[in-house]
Amino acid sequence: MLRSIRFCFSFIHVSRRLESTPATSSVAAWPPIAQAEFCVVSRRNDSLGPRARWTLFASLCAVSFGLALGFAALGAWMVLPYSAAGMGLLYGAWRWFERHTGDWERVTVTGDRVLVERESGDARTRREFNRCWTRLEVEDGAPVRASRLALRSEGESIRFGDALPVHELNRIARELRRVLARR
Amino acid sequence: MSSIPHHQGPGHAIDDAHAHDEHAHHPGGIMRWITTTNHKDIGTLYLWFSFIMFIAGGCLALTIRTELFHPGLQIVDPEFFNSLTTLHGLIMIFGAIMPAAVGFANWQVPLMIGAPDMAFARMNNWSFWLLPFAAVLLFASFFVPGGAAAGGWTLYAPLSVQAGMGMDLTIFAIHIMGASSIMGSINIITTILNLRAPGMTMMKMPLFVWTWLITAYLLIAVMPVLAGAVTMLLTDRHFGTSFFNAAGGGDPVMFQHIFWFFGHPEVYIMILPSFGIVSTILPAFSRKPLFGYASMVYATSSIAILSFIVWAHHMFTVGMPAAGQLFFMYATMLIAVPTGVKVFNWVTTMWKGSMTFETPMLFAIGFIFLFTMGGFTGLVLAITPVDIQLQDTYYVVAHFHYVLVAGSLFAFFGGVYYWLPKWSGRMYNEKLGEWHFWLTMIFFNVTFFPMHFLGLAGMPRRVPDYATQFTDWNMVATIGAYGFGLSQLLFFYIVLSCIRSGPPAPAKPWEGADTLEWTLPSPLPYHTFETPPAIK
Repeated sequence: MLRSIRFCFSFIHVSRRLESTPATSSVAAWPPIAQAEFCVVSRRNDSLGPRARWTLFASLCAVSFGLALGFAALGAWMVLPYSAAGMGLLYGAWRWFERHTGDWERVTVTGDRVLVERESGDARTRREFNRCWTRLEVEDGAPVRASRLALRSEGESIRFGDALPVHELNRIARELRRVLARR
Repeated sequence: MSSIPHHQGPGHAIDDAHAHDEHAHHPGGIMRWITTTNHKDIGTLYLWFSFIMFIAGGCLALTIRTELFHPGLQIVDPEFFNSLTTLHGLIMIFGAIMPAAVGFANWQVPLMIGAPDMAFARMNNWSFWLLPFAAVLLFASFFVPGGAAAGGWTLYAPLSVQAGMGMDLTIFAIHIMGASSIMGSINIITTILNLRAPGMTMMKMPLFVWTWLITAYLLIAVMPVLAGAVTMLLTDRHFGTSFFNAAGGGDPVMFQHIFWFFGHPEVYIMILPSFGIVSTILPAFSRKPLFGYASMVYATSSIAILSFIVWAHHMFTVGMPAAGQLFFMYATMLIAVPTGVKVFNWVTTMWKGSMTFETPMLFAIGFIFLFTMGGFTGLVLAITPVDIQLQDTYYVVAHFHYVLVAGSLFAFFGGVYYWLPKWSGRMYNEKLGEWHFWLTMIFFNVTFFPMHFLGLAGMPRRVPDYATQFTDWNMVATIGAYGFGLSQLLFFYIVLSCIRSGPPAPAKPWEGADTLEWTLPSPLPYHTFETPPAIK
């Protein structure tokens, strides 16, 4: 049975027995793994979104260049290069930021394997564990920090789910532990 | 996703838990502070830097006040006196107030929106470390041939075109500080807009975050104007251009227009973050939500927009058509409307609240009382015929000190007392904090209130000597200035003793505080909100 939940802000997709491409556009780009018993995808929250971000950038450019052109018309043209430099810096910063808004990580349990995949900027990584030898560790950080999830197998440990809200982290931990126990 | 490694080749296992722990064990000693990309560390650096600049700028002010204790020339020559007034203004504005506001933003913005850090952590580090170099340039200008800039912090042409090498250092310092401000504001805008925790909608953001978002917009809009203005000064001085040189066909008045087009929004850049701090403190100690949250947001935005169309009220005596005078007079008066909305909302927040008067609250109330007085004298100065009489008198000096010292500075003191238990994990000495408030409040008024009388009686500003009829109030102001300055040493002692040996602070020492940072332990862990918090 396909069960998928999408949380509107954090683009998290949780499914058991993933049989089709998830409905969300952000998830659709990632290759699904057939017959997965458990799959969770997490992305960092992008609270503005690309459309609003570039609309805002355009409005800032309009204000900054409008002022600079006004001064240039009055003879003070040296404001113009500084406006261009400021907007250029803002553009570069937001382009860099946007490259990482698509970062994601996915934990999939399928057959006898547990897969942990990540994409950060251009770097894509994939770790594969033997399901029988993998256990979930929930590091309770309270009260100093939030809890952390980590998969440990063969002496290696890999953390995941940092982009998940705390209450979702706990729920996913319960579900993943149940799936891992059913080997 | 700062906690996810950027490059992790296939088949190369990285122990994330260990990697993270390594990250948590940040470098110690001086390298921690030089290389840090942690928003809390950088916030601390900004706040200490601004305090050092505040003390340095205060020493210049005390030298000015010492000279003015008696009529006649006593301890400094007139040229050096002019350098003191110029550098006092530049240091307090660009070295003390603005960095302090950025320090608060660094500490509080990520915590208040549930973000793990600032959006561009390395750029944040560079933004700060540019500032000490700028400060060194400013102070070094005292020791170069011709001395430091002496034309006032406004750097008016043609004085600034004709000045010595100190002016070049000042221009360079302004460029550096401007670059720092632009980088800081890009960081703050990106953090606020893009890194809010799920559920933290714009209209759920604490007002401090809103005020900083609007401040950052203002900075991005006007900093290129200042940079362009001082570059034109530089080329006029050294490269044969005549932007502001009348002999070459330029126009010195154009410099004033350009400068004040930057300068008036700059006033709001300095005061809006303080509005945000006060809007955070008042509800906490009134144990009531902020009255009229939405109207506060709109009022802040209105103030920011209006700040672009009032610049020429600084220039009524320069000469402009009557229609221009009327426009700038009415536009300036219009700012009283959104400001009035804010003052009304602050007072109404306290109305029938279960109020207590701990030090942060005392400073917040002191802020409202004195800032409102400064606002009223601003309205007086907005009236063109009155301003023509009072232009460049001590009345103007009194006005802007009521706005910027009792406004910005009082709010920053309140903010430090409010968040110090959270930042340091220790409580400050409440009794000494109250002493600090009352001494500051009394000596501030002793210093600056008589300046209204002096200005109304016609004493001009930026003069080392004056007619004997002004002696009494100048003596009072000087005594007040020494009291005010010494009171700040008490603040230094309170903060230092709190950090070193204050009693442990609970996670939420203020009963009515309800922003996100109070859900975290005290002292704050080095990394916070690595996983986003749940927002109700």
